[in-house]
Amino acid sequence: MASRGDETLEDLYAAHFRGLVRLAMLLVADVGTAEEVVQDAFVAMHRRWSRLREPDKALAYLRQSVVNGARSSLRRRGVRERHAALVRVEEGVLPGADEHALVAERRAAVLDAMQSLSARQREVLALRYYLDLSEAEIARTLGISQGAVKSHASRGVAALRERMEDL
Amino acid sequence: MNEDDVRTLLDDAVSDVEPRPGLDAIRERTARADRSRSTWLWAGLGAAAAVVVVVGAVAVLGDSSPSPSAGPAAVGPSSPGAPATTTTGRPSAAAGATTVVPVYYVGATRQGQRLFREFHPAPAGDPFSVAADDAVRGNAADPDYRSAWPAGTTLNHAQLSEGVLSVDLGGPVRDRPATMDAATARLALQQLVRTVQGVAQQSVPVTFLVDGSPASTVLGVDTRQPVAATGDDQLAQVQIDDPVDGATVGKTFTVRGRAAGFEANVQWELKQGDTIVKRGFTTAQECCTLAPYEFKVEGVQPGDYTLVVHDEDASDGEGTGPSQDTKRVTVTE
Repeated sequence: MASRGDETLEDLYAAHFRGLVRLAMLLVADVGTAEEVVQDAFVAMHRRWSRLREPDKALAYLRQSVVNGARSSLRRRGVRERHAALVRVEEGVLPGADEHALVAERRAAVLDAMQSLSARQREVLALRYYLDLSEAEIARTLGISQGAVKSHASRGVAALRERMEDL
Repeated sequence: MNEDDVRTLLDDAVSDVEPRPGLDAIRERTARADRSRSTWLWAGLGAAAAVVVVVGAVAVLGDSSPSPSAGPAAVGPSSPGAPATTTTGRPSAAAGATTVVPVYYVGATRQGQRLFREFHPAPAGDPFSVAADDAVRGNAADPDYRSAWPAGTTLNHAQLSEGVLSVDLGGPVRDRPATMDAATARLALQQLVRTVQGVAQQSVPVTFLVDGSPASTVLGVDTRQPVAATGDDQLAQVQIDDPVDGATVGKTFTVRGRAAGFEANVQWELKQGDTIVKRGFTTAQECCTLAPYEFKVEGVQPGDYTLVVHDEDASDGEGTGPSQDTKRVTVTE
């Protein structure tokens, strides 16, 4: 018989796995890495289950693990390889006249622009505009003040705008 | 571009991401984690784990004249004759960029919590940050080891620059959490001090920053001055460096580590469950200070074992002495 922890693990997986992988994708710009980061987060959550207990806390913990895991994996991957990955993405979607290619190009450009931001700006933008978390929730997730959330958000939006307008 | 535009852009950018189903992989890992907690960490590293074993050995040899003030002996990226991460058969893509770093964790001993060391692979480009990040995250291969840092702590950056070792943290780290005692807080800082000193192979005190700025306290510990490594009594008095937890070894294998036992005595047992399959003893190179030891375990039948190394004979033959380290090993033909 599955323990309560397993049931909740499955519920959380069903409800949030895809969304968290997409969140991670905004942070690391690579699907394989994003999947790994989210799997790691679920495994880590399972290990801490006795301390988390409530699904709300577990979800908050998952988000925090995804953000931290994304950061670690970018650090490990190294700047050179990260850049190479982005170049590959761009080459893969180079000019095609059809609409599909244009959409793919735009998506790659957004991920590229996200990678050009500071880690904090990227995290704040993803949590605020992708997950729609409140400033207070973002502050708790990242362990920074609400004031810092505000300033990273406004600078991040400005930088993103600049990058997208360059295109 | 207003806020809604950002929302639409980000939403759209990942709208085609359909992850492969991951529940089975997660289940398998948590099941394995329940059985033997963190071995999975090493499973994915493959040959990198072999680096750790090889280098662990080198590091111990390099430890042959330890002095209390010398800081932890360890393998840094620039150490002369450094272990050659080239000794692995790792695909060349990653081999050139990988080094091995010491990472300090907290583990329980009969004397209370002490620091234990593991060796982890890290990219040569930023070994300080990766080592410090591992220490903070507590992703030890040995499930008996953990991080003393509170959940939510992040490592922004760690470096050695112009002779200054610094660690930049993020998260709720200025004050000591109500649930943490002062000794544990000090030990958490020592985890990072020992780790980055070990990577640098220098015993210079470590400057603590929070979100890029000097911090007057970290976990309630005064950090207005750089923090030095406290004495070797913070370190576990018996440690196994090699094999690492979860390692697969041959029928005859060598065990290496550090111990500070009475008259330098080191006892060991190889167990299956409660049954002692083999036992023996050796002596560390010096008495009464943390000194290297090494011994061979010979002619073991294939199977899963627990290796126990401790510093005092157990009179009843059942228990173990006051300080010990354990590793699970799988013996194959």
